[in-house]
Order: sequence, then C-alpha cells, then structure tokens
Amino acid sequence: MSSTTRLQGQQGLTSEAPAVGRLISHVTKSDRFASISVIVVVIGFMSVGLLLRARDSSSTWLYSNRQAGIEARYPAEWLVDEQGDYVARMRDPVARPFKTQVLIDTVPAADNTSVRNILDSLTLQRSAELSAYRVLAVRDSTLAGVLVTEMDFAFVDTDPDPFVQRVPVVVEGLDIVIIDNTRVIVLTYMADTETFEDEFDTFLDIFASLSY
Amino acid sequence: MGCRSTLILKALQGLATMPAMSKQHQTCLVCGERLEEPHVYGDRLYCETHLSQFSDDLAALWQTGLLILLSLAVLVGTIAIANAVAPNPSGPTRLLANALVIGLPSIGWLILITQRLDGEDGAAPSLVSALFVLGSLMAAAVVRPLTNEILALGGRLAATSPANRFVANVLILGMLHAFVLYGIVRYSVWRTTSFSLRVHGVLYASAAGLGYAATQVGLFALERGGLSMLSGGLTLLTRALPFATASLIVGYFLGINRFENQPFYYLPSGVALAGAVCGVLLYAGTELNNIRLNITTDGFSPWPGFVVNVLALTIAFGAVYGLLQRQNTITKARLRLRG
Repeated sequence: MSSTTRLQGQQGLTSEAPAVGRLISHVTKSDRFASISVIVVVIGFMSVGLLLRARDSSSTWLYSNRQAGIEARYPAEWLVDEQGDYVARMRDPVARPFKTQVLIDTVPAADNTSVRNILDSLTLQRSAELSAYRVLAVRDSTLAGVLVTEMDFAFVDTDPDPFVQRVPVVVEGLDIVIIDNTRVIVLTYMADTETFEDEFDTFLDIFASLSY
Repeated sequence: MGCRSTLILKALQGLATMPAMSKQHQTCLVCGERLEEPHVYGDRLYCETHLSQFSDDLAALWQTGLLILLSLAVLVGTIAIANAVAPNPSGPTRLLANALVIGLPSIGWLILITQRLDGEDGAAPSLVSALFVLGSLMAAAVVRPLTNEILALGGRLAATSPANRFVANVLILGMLHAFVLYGIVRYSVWRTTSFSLRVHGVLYASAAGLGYAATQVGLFALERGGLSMLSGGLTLLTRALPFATASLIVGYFLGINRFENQPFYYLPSGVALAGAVCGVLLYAGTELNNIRLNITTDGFSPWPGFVVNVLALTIAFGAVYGLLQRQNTITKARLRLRG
C-alpha cells in the first residue's frame, strides 16, 4: 500500500477499510513464542518478588530497649516509635482506618502499689483523653502461660482534623499489667473492632516474646 | 494397500497446495498487501515501499522529546519561584499546581507530537492519543488497584527494610509497570499498519508511558489532597520519570522486533531490562531523598531522587536514540548493498 493510498484511507476517501490501525495478521512462530516468554518471565520475576515479600511479612524483628530493660519481637512490617509517653509503640502502618498497635509502657511501683491502682490511673488518664472511653472488664487470667491482669476497654477514635471527613471508629483495647519488682509493665493492644480478633494472635506473639 | 494409496494421494495433494498456501501468506509485514516478489529482511517479508521506509527516522519524535526534557528544567525553575512567592498554597491551589506539574510535560508532549505528525510518516496521531488514554486507563483501573489494594504494597514497602524495598521495587513494581507498558503497545498497535517504522515503537510506547505516568502520579497527589509546591512538585516529577524511562526501553525493543525476526528471548530481555530500570528508579526516587543532616538527624530533600531520575531518563533517551539511529543506518546500508 503506497503512502498516498494510506493517506486517502486515513481521510476516508476510498471505499477500502481505513489503513489507520488495520490489523495485519503476520505473526511468526518466534513472535508467538516471544510473546508467551514475556508473560512467563514477568510472572516469574513477580512471583519471586511476592515470595520474598511473603517471607518478609512472616518474619519478625527484635525490639530492644536497654534503658527500660525490655525486649520483644514484632512483625517486620510494623513500625516502632519511641516518641510518646511510653517505652515503645509498635504499629501496623497499613491498617485502616485505625492503626492496629501495641504499646509497651513501664510505671514505677512502690511496695503497696496494686494492679488495681495502675488500672484506675490508666482509666482516669484515658477518660480525659479519649472519646467515649469505657472499661468493659477487668479480670485475672493466664495469657501465653503467664498469670496476668487484663483490662478490656473501648473508645471512639476521631480524626483531630475537623476537615477530614471520616466516620469515627470504635476501637477495642486490652491492657495487660505485669508487676516486675519495683515497676509495673503495661502492655496495651488496640485495634478497631473489625480487626481486633484477627490481629489478636500477633499481639499474643509479641507478648510471648516479651522479656524483661 | 488401499489405505496407503489414499495417504500418498493426500500427501501429493498437500504438496500441490503448498505453493499456493505459501503464496497466500506472502504478504507485506506492514501493509498486508500480497507480494508477487517479496523482499526479505530479517526473516520478514516486505513490499518494496515499506522495505525502504521502515528504517526511516522520525525527527519530530526526538525533537519533541528533547524539548520536553529541556522544559523540565524550566518547569523546576518555575516551581522554585512559585514556592518562594507562595510557599504554602491552600488545598485547591495545591491541586491546581500539582495538575500543572503533571500535565505540562505529559499533555504538552502529546499536543506537540500529534501536531507534528503529518501522516507521511505512517503514524496516526489519533492512535498516539488513544494509547495515551489507554495508558492512563490501565494505570487507574488496573495497576493502582492491584498494587495498592490487592497486593497492598504502598504501606508494606514503607515498613520494610531498604533491601526488601529494593527487591520489591524491581521484581514486583518494575516488572509490572514494564509489562503493562509493553502489553499496551504489543497487543494494540504493534501488528497494525500504523506501526510502519522502527521508531514507532518509541513513539507509541512513549504515548502510553506518559499517559500512564501522568495518571499514576496524578492519583498519588489526589489521594494526599495535593502536595506542597516545591517538595511535592519535584516528588511528582521524580515518580513519573521511571515510567517514561521504561517506556523508552520497551518501545525500542518492540520497534526492533517488529521488523526483524529476533530470538525468542529478545523481547523478554527487553521487558525485564525496562522493569529493572523502572524498579531501580522508583527505589532511587524515594530512597535517595532520605538524607543525613548530621550524625544524629535524618531529613528529607526532593532533589537527589529527582536529579538521578532525570539523568537516567536523559541517558535512556540518548541511548535509545543512538541505538535506533545505528540500526537504521546499518539497515539502509545493507539495502543499498543489495541494490
């Protein structure tokens, strides 16, 4: 086809099918093989990448704080920060709308400090800071083979930015209080109600790996 | 015996029809016209016109590309001045500024190139625009949901180690982006009459790549409610450049393979190379921006990633241009020798 015919075709001047983008079925065996090879190669590379990612997802990292004398293993994909009024906070950065998190904190304890004192103190503090904070239950239980005191609570998480349009989220939490000589270690697990149960095993793994 | 004679008869009939069949398949690779006297180059059949044309250059493509590359410098200068005048614009102004940063190079390229294509070069401006839109749609409807929702890579990459980020960028994201860019051209325009020059590979892949890049970074900015003028603007450009670079490489390999029969591993190698480059640049574009301010403090600067990605794009542009020129010169010399 000459370029003139091609141009005429483009302008619709001939009765033939327009030349623009006309499919020419001219594919050799090598072309077909190359076409399949591209798909195979890309799937192969991506599979290797996804396998490595899966291995990374199931791995854990060690958090160690020599000053507080606390070590714990947390999921490799979670983030740790020590910026707040706690020893450490481990958060799942992709959790939405509320970031699933585990807080580790220590409180000095006198001889007469009871677990109840610590829980009451937490309740007073959170009642002032968190919306609709409610204590749901307090009980002694055995968790990962350790005798602990647990406190279930819930609150409503709202975005502090008034221009962000987001439905407030109900967050469930669990405090675990461990008395360790002259201090009390408080481990707090928080997640939105939808994911609380799903991520509870992750919290148990962190708790089981906790050494102090 | 009777059965054997029937088989022999069928075989003879087959032999008799073979020339007719092969003649039926002797059509020009580009225009599909039946060829009485086919010309063969690189194990492909051509009519006389397209044999002499397919190695032609498309000066408009390189000139437009160079102009857009140079305009990046002007754009960055303008962003810097705008940042000095209004460092913290409000939401809508931010989005408008982001839209200009994204739109000027990509849509500017599209407008310029479609204006300069005149039809004599075999490329259809409408197809160039269509591929730009197709690239854009693929990014919005397929790739972003896949990477952000299904594979949930965004947050996970931020939370993992730099080595894992590098591997994920190259093996997952880079390969995916390169394959999508390859697929857009390979399964749409590659086998059509409008792909009549080697250099059309780069033309169509660039169109798809720029549409793809503009949408990727546009949605990135929208999800964050607009980015800041200087850091945000440079981040958007930095994130768009790996797609443009990958599209140049994919286009080069598609252009070469279209007009010459290549070994089966040629195209996979090209896509893998484009994917690796795209992945490395995506990684560099974010990782290099985390700079050390002093021994104890880290900071952020949008410049290192931007500079590296611009350099990579410039090198890729120069390499693809040089290699295509070389291939075309060799082809023309061979054809001249053949007479």
